[in-house]
Formats: sequence, C-alpha cells, structure tokens
Amino acid sequence: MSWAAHDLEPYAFQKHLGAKIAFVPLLLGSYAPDQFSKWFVYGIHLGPWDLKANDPVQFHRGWPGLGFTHSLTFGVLVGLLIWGLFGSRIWGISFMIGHAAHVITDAGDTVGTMWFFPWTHHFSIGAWAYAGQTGRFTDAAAYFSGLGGMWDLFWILYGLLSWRVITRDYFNTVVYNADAFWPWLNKRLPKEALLVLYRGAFFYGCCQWLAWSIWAHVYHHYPYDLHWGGPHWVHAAHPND
Amino acid sequence: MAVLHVLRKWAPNRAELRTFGKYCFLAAIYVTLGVINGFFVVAFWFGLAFLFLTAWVIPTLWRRLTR
Repeated sequence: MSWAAHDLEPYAFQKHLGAKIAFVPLLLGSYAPDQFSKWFVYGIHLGPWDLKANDPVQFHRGWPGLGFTHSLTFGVLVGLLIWGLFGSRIWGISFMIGHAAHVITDAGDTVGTMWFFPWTHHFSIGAWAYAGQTGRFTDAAAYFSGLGGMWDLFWILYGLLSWRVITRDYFNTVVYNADAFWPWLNKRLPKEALLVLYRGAFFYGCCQWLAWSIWAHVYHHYPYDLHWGGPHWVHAAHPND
Repeated sequence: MAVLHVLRKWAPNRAELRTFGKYCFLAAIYVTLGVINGFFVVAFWFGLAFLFLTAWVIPTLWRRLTR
C-alpha cells in the first residue's frame, strides 16, 4: 500500500509527457484502484454498524475480492471505456498511465498486485510491509517508518526539483491547453482558482507525508526501520496469508 | 561556471518564492490540523477543499470586501 506517491507521481508524468497527456484523468487513474476498497479495508463506523472486510488483504489485493482493480488489465479496460464513451483518446490514455503507476507502485509492498488479472499471480518486490489489515493508524505508522515513506519522500523531492511543473506559466501554456476540461471549468471559475485546483494533489501529498511522519515519529515515537520489507515491528501481510 | 548557469536558470525568482512561501504557510496550518486529528489528512478531497478555501476563496472574498 502506498500513500503520498499516488498524489505525486502524476506530476512527474506531467513533467515528462507535457501536452501529450491530460492531468485530471491521470490523477483519477492514480487514485482509482483504492477509491472503492480502502475504506472497507480499514473499516468504518456507520451508526451501530462496524463495516470492515473479514480478510482485508484478500479483499484489497486478492481474488475473490477487489484485487482486480489493482491490475494493469483493469486500467486498460477502464481507459478504453473512457476513450469509447467520451470519444477522448487523451483521457483514456492518461487514465491508463495514472492507473498503471498506482499498480506498479503498490507492487513495492509485501502483498503486491495482480498485474495481469485474471492471472492471479502477485507481482511484489516486498520493499515495505503491507499492514492495511492492522487498521489505518498502525498502517500509517508502519508505512511512514519504512521504505514506503522513503519512496514517497523521493517523489516529494523530485517534485520540488521539478517545481516549474506547478507554476502558473506551465499551467497556462501546457496543462490548460492540453485538455478541454480546463476551458470548460474556466467558464465557471477563474484561472486563478483552476491553478489552485491543479496544485491540490501536490499540496495534499506533501502535507500528508509531513503530517503522518510527525504523528508517527514526534508525537508517538514509532521506530524507523528502513530494512527491506520493514518495518519489522509490524506483521507484514503476504499474498497467501 | 556551467553549474552556476544551470542553477541560475533553475532557481525561482522573487515572485515565485513568495507564492511558495504562501503555500508553505498554508501547509503548516494543514499539517498541524493533520497531526492533531489524522482524519484531516486521510482523504484527498479534504486537502483539496482546504487548499481551495484558503488559497482562493478566502483571499478572493477578502479582496472584494476590502476594495
């Protein structure tokens, strides 16, 4: 499971692909796999009901479960659907790229993702512990204590070094002109507001990383463990657990 | 000299630094809220709403009221 990387990677693609992609579907693709599953992995309280998956790992990444949302085939299928339904090639392809980034990034943990579903083999490099089954707060503490947090930090630094991608000039000349969505939204909101929205995921990703790191290491004193597959103070889930 | 030239081209100007400072200030508030209560930083939509409100809605309203 990754946290801020999914907010920040789209800006790196934006930098390298420029006007060949559209930022909004790129970001939607990057967020899509977790949109329907993460709340149920951690569980929520709805009045008297506690809703939580019996087997969060299986539900999130496995089959049977919603693990197919973390496959490259699912991203291609949804991208083609977007292309066909809305007649927008750039939206379809941008969604596929954002989605693929999420799927490949999540292969960094100990559970991994089924890249080529319906083939149910999990691709995993096991660099950081998957701890979604422990609940949101322990998962956050574990993620921001291991190599997952460092992976996010890499994207923050990469984004800061490539800072021109979030400037007004870049937005006006590249992002705005690449996608008809922005001129459409510009009929309702001024460009100044659109620029703030465009910067939103970068702002959120950086803040999320900082807030959880401070919460885990200053407020709660969870120990860092940057060993491969760590932190080892948490139970790391694996595909066949 | 080549390194200096690249650095000079890369470095932000004063106006860009001012914008960066403004976002850092807003980030400091949002991160503080997030540390106090983790639920402020669990959803992208919270972050986007916070930024939209503090970086655009409130300054725009303020400018209109004080014009």
